[in-house]
Amino acid sequence: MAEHNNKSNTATPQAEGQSVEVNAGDTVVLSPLVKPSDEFIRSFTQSQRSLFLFILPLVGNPADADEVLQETNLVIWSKWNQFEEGTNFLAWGRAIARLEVFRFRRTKGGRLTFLEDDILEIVAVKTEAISDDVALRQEALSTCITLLRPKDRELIQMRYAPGVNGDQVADMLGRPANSVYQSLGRIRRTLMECVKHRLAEEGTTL
Amino acid sequence: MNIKISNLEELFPLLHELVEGQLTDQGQTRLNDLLRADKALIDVYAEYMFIHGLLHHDAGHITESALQQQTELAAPVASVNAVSGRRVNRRIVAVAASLLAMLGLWFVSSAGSNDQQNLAEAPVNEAASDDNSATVVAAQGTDGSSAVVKNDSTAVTGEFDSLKPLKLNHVAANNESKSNAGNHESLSVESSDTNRLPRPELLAATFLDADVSAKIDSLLAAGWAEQGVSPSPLATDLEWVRRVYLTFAGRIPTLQESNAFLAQTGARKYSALIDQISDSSERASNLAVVWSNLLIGRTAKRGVNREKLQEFLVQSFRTNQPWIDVVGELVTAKGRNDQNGATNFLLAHLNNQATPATAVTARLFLGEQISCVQCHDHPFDKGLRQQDYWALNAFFKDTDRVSVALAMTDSPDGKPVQDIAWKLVDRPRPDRMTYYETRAGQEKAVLPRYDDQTLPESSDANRRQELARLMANDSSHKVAKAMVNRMWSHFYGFGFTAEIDDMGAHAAISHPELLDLLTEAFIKSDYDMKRLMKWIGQSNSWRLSSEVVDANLVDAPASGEVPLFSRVYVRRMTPEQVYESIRVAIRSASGQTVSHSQADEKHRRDWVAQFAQSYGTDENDESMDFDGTIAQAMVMMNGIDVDDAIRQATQAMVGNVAARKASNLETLDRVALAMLTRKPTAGEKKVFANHHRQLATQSAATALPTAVEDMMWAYLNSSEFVLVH
Repeated sequence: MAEHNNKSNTATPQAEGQSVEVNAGDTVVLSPLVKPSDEFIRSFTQSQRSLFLFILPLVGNPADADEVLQETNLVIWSKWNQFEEGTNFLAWGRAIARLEVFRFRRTKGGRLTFLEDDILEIVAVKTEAISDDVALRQEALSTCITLLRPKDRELIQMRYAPGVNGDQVADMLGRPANSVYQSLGRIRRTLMECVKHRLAEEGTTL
Repeated sequence: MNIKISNLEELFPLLHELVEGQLTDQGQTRLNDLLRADKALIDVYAEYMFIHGLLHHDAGHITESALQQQTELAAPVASVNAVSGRRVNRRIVAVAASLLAMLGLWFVSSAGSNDQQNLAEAPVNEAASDDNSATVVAAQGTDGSSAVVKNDSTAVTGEFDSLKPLKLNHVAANNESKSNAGNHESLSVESSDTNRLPRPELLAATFLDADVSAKIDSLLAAGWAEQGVSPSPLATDLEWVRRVYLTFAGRIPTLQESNAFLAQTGARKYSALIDQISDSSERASNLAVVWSNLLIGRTAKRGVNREKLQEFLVQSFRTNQPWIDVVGELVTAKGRNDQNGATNFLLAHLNNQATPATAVTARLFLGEQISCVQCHDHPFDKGLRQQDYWALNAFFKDTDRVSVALAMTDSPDGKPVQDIAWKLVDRPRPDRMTYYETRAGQEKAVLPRYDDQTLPESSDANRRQELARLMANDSSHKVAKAMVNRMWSHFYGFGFTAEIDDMGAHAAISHPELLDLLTEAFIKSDYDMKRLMKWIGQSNSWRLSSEVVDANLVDAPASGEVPLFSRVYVRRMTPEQVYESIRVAIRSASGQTVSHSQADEKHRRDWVAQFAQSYGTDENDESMDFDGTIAQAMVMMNGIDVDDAIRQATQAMVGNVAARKASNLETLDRVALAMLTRKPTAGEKKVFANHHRQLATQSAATALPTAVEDMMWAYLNSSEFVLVH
């Protein structure tokens, strides 16, 4: 989504030499001379979607996921010189994101935490695996979207147009919100099954 | 994955709410509880959120890429909308609204006309004495069976080379005993087969159909007693006759057939109708339709000749070939698909290294869902490993398809067209091993193996024939079990396992003794499909109403509970049943015959195909867009002019009134009987009378025809019409 991408990109490296509060009591001083390599910047850019998708199931809604991603990006940029070139950037980013999720939950103190701790751990393992092959899955999803009934596809497109939510779609269509939610739910479920099948097929095509 | 379905069905609404920002605190707590209780749901949760996340994140760009598709497909949307503007919708809205609301509640509100005989007491008591012995026997069976299996498989391992010609070693068919409907005795079984039966035998070597039906009743009743539920009352004659025709012939009964059944008296009339309809050619063609959909799906596939497959199936079912032989023919078929119809099954599934052939064979014939072990060992089912999948796949390694150029024909526009047939052949590959990759990235090789018997690398036996032979001699009788389970679900809407084609070691079986009993009877009858259908159809239990009563509220398999079969569950018709039933309803109302031409058959296939969509998955799965509402069915029925047909039917009905001096309400009786196989309710009579009165103020001449026509539409459009109950 456009607004989301813009926000991600604003998380630029901190000014040289500035110290940044990262985790409770953990102060990092950035090296004054060296800048992140092009490779690092590329990896960072490419990781954004995977990280978002990793975080979302842990916090439950895109707005919170965006917020956690911003925090994660800040830490990534502040720690860029701790990253070892050639190792898995995404895995590194996820480790940071994970800590940020926990921090985010603490700061939301009064609010009910979304997933309870024990569940969160297990979900994280699964969502980690998913974020590893986003490219394949994205391809599968695009194909599955083209397989939808035209009406269903239209509905999904309306719902996921930037800044739109289910209520607004219901308004536009003049249908009761509940029935629109139901249709959307059914379509997402169909897409989920379809992606699953596509991946299973993909995995065995030799 | 063996997820408890009720959990899954509870999870999705929560996920929909979560994603739309509607999840309450209680919902959130429940979500946590569900995920904690069933770890498999965590995968579902993560996958679902992934879809949501990706759609959300990529919205702009997905819209772009899908836009071209969108414009291409814009035309059909427009045309559907155009069609739906026709009279069909006007009718639904104009007249039927109040009526529809009423009909929708039919099942809830009409529960319990108390004058009906209640089955509860007799069978339950009878079963109580039977019960103990039955469970003991079952326990012995499960204990003893593994040992029996072991002995057996070691005994048979080895000699493959001498077995080339296809000779399936199951009990020989006895056509003589089969021709006497209702009263046959089964052949006694060869001793070698007997000791392969799954458990100590429940049936004598010779048995009557009625013995099996009685056993069904007592075993089900035992379950009711144990769970403290009472069965629903017996179905009315009309509810039952409708169910019989839908189950056996794939359509509702005609007006005439319903009336004929009502006119009969005597307790024998139920089993007599089952006998009669079992012998009808409609039973064979209905089964053929059901099975061609299972075997090759509903969408057209290149190089697959559906007509020929269906011909093969009709022929097999009409002559009541033993099921194991039908399976054998499907698995081993050779030659051209326009000459040997059975070839079309495998021709449809040889893509992707025959992985669909592997998965579909396992699912349909063996009752095992093994596609997940294609990539990894089964997480719960200890018995099922990745190599088992590939060992089954290896049986199809030599099988290939080649195209055959036929004579040139002229297409309608005058250009010559090359017709092509496809041929299923076996061409032994030099490398006899089948390779696959484990999750760890290791390459492994397997030989064909089934039921712990491996085909040696040196064997030059036809692998598909070997598979058919091994299936026929399966120590655990998977083919028989799978068919029994599927047939049971054909009658009840639910089988003995949560998913009828997932009977692996991990699957809980609701009625193990009953499954064993029917499997044993099926094997002893030499896989007699007609008799299998009679055993279930002639049981008293299958005569129960589908109404829910307080005493069996807990028997709710639709919400994931273990089925108790204390009633016959309500379900939606298949698209084929809907099509045929609309046809029969209208035609029988106008006094026309319901016989089928080839063209009708084709029209139905094309009609159904409109809803089917191939997903091109590892099982060549399809999705059906049919939501089961008649409104949709009608809109899609472009070819038949439903308007005209209904008008004709109206004229016949009204003409009848004039000729017979029947009252208006008697006409309503006939309409209700033709459409819904029941009497009109008091409420419907009132609506009809009011409507008629209102119309009469405008024009006395057209009031009755219009009222009748509107009632027909209302009944056809009711949610009740599309139910099998």
